[in-house]
Amino acid sequence: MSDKPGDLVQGTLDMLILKTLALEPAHGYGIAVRIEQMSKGVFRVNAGSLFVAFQRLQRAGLIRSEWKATENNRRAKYYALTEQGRKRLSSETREWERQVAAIARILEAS
Amino acid sequence: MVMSLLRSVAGGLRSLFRKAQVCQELDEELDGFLEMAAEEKMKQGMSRKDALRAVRLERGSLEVAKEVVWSAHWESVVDTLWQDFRFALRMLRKSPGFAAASILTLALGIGINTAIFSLLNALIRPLNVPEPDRLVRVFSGRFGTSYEMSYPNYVDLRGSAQSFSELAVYSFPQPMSLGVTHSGEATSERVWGIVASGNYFQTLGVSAALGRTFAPDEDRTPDSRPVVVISHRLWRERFNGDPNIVGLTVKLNGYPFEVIGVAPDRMLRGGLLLSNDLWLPMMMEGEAMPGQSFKLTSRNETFLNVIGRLRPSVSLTQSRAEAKTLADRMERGHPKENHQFGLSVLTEREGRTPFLPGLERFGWILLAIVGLVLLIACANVAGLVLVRALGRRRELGIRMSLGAGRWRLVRQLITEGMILSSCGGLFGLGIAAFAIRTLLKFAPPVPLEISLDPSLDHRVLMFTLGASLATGILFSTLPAFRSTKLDVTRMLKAGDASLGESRTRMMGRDALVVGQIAVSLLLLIMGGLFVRSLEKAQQINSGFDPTNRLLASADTFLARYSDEQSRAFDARLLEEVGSTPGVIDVSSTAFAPLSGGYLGDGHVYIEGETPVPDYDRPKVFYDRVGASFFRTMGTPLLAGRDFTDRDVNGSSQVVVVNQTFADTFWPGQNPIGKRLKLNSSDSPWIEVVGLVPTGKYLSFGEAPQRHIFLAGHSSGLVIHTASDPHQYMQAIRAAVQRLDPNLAVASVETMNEHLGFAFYPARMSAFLLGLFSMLGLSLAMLGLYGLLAFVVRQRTHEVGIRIALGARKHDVLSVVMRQGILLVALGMTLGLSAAYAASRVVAGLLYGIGGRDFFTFTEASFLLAFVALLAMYIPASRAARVDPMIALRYE
Repeated sequence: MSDKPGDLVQGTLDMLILKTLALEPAHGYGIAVRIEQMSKGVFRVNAGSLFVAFQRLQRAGLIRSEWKATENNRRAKYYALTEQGRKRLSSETREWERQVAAIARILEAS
Repeated sequence: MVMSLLRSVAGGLRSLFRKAQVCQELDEELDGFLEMAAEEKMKQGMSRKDALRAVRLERGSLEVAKEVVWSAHWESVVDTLWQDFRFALRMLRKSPGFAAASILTLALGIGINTAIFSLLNALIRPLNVPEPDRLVRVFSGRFGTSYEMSYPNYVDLRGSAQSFSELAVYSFPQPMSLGVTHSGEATSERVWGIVASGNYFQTLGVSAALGRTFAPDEDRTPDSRPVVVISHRLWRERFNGDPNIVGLTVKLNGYPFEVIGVAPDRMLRGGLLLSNDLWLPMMMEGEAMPGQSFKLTSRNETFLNVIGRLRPSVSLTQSRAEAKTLADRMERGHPKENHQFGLSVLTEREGRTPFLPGLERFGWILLAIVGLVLLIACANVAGLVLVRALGRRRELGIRMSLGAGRWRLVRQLITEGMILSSCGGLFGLGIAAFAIRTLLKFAPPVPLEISLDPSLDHRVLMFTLGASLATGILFSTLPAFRSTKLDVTRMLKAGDASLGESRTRMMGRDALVVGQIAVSLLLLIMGGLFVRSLEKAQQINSGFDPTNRLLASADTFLARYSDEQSRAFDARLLEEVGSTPGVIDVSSTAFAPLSGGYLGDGHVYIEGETPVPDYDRPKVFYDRVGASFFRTMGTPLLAGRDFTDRDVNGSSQVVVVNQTFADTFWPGQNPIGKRLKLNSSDSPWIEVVGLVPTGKYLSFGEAPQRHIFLAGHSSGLVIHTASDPHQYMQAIRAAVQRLDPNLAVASVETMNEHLGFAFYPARMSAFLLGLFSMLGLSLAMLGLYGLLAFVVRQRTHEVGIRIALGARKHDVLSVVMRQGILLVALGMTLGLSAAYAASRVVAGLLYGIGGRDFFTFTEASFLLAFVALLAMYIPASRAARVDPMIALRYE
């Protein structure tokens, strides 16, 4: 991977959002920053895709939202994981690990 | 899965209806995002301005993000549709002239289509009874023709047929006098009643709205149970909806009947029916029609309509197979009366039309014609849309270069079309309601009430909706794709239409012109055929002179006169009327010609003929007329003499034959003095005393008929008056009243009024088709004029250059018109071919001319060519007068 922050692997943004929210509820900017921090600057999240993902996840009932005050006394929409979201995260994590392991085996085999 | 779908739908709906709030939330959220990101940067020492710019660079434009978030959901599709709709409304409001012209044109087209369809629908829709598709009609027929059934044959059929759960018969409506005693005062009026078998209402599956229908034992013994079911309308209008009507005694033709029930409202809505106000049990025929009770026992009296209900398990095919077997058995049982007997089972819907053949076909032809008018209207609007699209190319170009997808633009243009056509459909319904009311005023001039219920039911509304949508798609799709196929850069540069004119777009417009010309020529020819057919019908020699003639009759049989009494009455009436000042001649006829029916027909036996079996024997229509009938009617005698009083009183057996009759049986010979027998070889010989030219007897459209006139007592008066016959009507009514004040006078009408009935089909079809073809022509010419005017305006620049270079007015005219003439010629060729093909369909409905009448084809072509040239000449000559300086500065 290059030095420049890259785009996310297709289809993984939802999982990363869910993972971030599994620790504690957060607002949009918080989530973006945390994904970047956790990936050590490898991923950079585009605002458009981030908010589309929020809407999608919320419609699917995986996360819920609530307007709250931030530490800086700013109003922000906080997202939190629902029970359904928690289940989805664990199943997606398992699936992801399975796939990564399989891909790794294929790559090592050569 | 279901839950999440529901949530998505709910969320979508919420954000759709609270778009403002949702948008605001999104704005706030995104603003917060931006602020927080910027604050982070500012902590690292950036200025606020730089920080905001850096965030935008890193995170992408938040405006775009908003748009992306918004359009990621299904509700955005609805939202864009709504946007399209509002935008389209705005655009249409900006060009109200265009919108009004389009809507008006479409409303006219859709309106008359809806009107004609609803009339046709009234003819063909199922009866308003349970399971109408299980109802069938049975006809007794010989040689594949369909007749009504005789009562004894019906009884046999009902006894043995297994296919039907019920099989009922009923007569045609007959006039009856209805006498009601109301608070001591007796009144009587003429109403129409039918006799029906006891299971008539069960067969239809309807029960009484009030009281009951016939009980089984009410239809067993002749003249035993005088009961009557009255129509809902009679109950409402004559008896003011009296709830105690059941049990009331009324007098029918002077005989007391008990009212047992009221039929449901609009019971037989569906089909063109002769409506009636009374239903009497079959067995009361002798009272309903005094002196007619023999009809119940005669196998030769075919006067009943048969309607049956198929058993649930029986198919139409099975019932037909059974009918064939039964017909053979019925023929073997009564070989003489039922010679070559046949039975045909038709669905109720198929069996309706034999009553009024050709009417339904005429309805479809009419619908096709107004469909063509609608097509022209569509082409007109399509032309308008195309022209308008050219003017909007700059707008479309700008929108495309700003990133609007072609599909979005096409959708936008089609939305505009749909708005126009829906408005057209809506106004069209209003026009249809008006047109139907107007059309129904032209009801045929018959004394019967005809029930045709063209109310707007769901089928009509579906039709209108379909027509509106179809026209919307038809006129907007093509222009929409055409006008969005743009080369954006060229469009924006060129600006004016003249340079960007592509070959394909011109072809679209040319096709419109050709199509309109073709369709309107087809319309003109069809309309012309019917108009000419009417002219022909009015020129037809009916065999008598209708001017200054009156017909009068009194229903003596309804007053229960005996044969002797009515003879005496008629004789005195003849005398009384004959002595009225101004009456030149008076005579009588049993059945006035061209009434749509006939007195009777019978087998003819000619003296000295080679004997033939009865079923091969020719039949002839006859009428019974009084003394000096031919002089009174203005019919010239070609040979022999008129009838005298002696002939009429029966002292000698004489007959007058027409030319066709004489030509058939005594070709090339003088028929006077020849002898013939009527109906049976046992009848006395009748001597021919006169020969008259062949006239028209049943309808104007008929081929020359053999017809004979017998001398005898008959009660319809024919009166030849010296001046306008209307002046004498009162005197004749008074004469009847003098002779018997209790007699309900039937009718007095002039011969020309009487002929209105025979002329009705020709008049009505000529009127409607003439009207619609003129409407189509005017629409097409407007469209043609509009398109050409536009083309010319577009070519103003080019014409200016030509004139500046020395072209004369004549040259310019020919250049501009040449193209138009070519299109018109092409369209006319197509139209003529189409008319040639269509002529076969209408040929059967025309009088005196064929479907390919050369005169009509030529006349219509010339008319169209002339009008089209005019429509082109006006814009072309305007082009030729163009001032080159103005034309060149035009850009």
